[in-house]
Amino acid sequence: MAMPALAPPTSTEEVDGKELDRQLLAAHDRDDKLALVRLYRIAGMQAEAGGDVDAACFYLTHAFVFALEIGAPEAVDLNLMLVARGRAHRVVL
Amino acid sequence: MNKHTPLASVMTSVNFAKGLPNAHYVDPEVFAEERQSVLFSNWSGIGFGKDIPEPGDAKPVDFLGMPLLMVRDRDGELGVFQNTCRHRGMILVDQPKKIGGVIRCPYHSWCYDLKGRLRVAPHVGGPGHNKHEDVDFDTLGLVRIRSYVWRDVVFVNVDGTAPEFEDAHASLMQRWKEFETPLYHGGPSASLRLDIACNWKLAVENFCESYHLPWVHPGLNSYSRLEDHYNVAEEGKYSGQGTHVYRQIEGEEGEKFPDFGGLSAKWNEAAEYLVVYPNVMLGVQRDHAFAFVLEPKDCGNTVEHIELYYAQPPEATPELGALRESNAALWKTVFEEDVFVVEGMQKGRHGSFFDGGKFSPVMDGPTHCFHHWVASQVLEGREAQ
Repeated sequence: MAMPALAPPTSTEEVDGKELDRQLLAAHDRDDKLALVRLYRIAGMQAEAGGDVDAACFYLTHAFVFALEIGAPEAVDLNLMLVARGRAHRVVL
Repeated sequence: MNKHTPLASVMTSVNFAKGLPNAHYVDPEVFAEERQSVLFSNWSGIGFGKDIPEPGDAKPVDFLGMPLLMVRDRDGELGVFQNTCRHRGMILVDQPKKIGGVIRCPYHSWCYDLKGRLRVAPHVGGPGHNKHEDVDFDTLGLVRIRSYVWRDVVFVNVDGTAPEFEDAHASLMQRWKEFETPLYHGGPSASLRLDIACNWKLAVENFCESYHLPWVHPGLNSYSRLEDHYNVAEEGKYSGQGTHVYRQIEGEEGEKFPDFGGLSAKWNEAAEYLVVYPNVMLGVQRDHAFAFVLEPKDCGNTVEHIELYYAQPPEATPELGALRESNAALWKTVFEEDVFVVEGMQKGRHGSFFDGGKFSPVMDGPTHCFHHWVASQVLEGREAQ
């Protein structure tokens, strides 16, 4: 019996997820911290929309760390998001 | 086990003393002993403020194997930290860089602000959990090393036991209080580096005496004669030499560097060259100054980091650019003339019958003063064990 062909992407979410992974890896490769902040934040929001708070906080943590590293103003907002979810100390910048 | 070199012969007057035994120049065990008792227990120079001029600038320094990090914080204050993450001991910063926000450890991304406070420990309580009841951020900041900046030299007291810098060097700071005016680094040509194959102390010893000038620097005889010099030897504090006849360098059209403000008439023709024990050598003159930081690499190798400073910044006096170049070249020639001497003394100390040497009671006071101080520090270290 012949093996079934690989199924094409079945949802926009799955395609976005792969594209997000690709963009994240590319941003890591070129050490583009601003892009990492933006992309990890998107990943966090998508995970939260999918109901996975742990995954959301994982990604938001990365966004926060890179924002903090470069002194990006987004660090304040990201910190507050993690604090609101009980996942970080409040950091006064 | 340290062999405990005999030091009684150093601890007497210059008339009868001998110099430090050979082991203090050629024995790695004694080098390690001096690392602790002389260099870590006192205020040692590790760099210059001009190396991190702006907020966020950070420069790692390997000081005798101790990883340090000089940082200029957002308030403009210079701080020195152990360059080691409090988590797994990773080196935090491995090359000079501008820090936009925080210092992020490249291993697990623990982040510290520029005052050394731990701000984030990502996933420390599990994925996505950035806190834990048993991880107290307030006790996990970077280890701050005592530091003090004087005449742009960054001094550190690694072991934390020295008196406050301003107490330890009160008499020297008082002596040169007239020079407490702004210093401006002379730009790229004002930085010199000499890698010399000798123990760091030989560079100090050569710097603080004028006895060798007519023999090693014959070019100075025309304007800086031996008889114009005087010894400075403050036991237990500092030593060096001075001259009553300092002649300013002039350009082709008679241009000179502007003087430091507020100097008394004494300094019109005087200049002094003193050692801030243990490893910093400073020169002050009416129109420019210089600083050496000696970086001991091992018992037989040292790097001299030399910087020249002026009363006005290069941007304010572009017409003096050529004169600054000439001045740097002049000093480079003088400093390089000393290399064969200090390297020769290092080789000579492998002569097993050399007994530390006989000092000239008249000419070698500053050198003996330094030996006496080093020996006293080593003895204090032994007593403390």
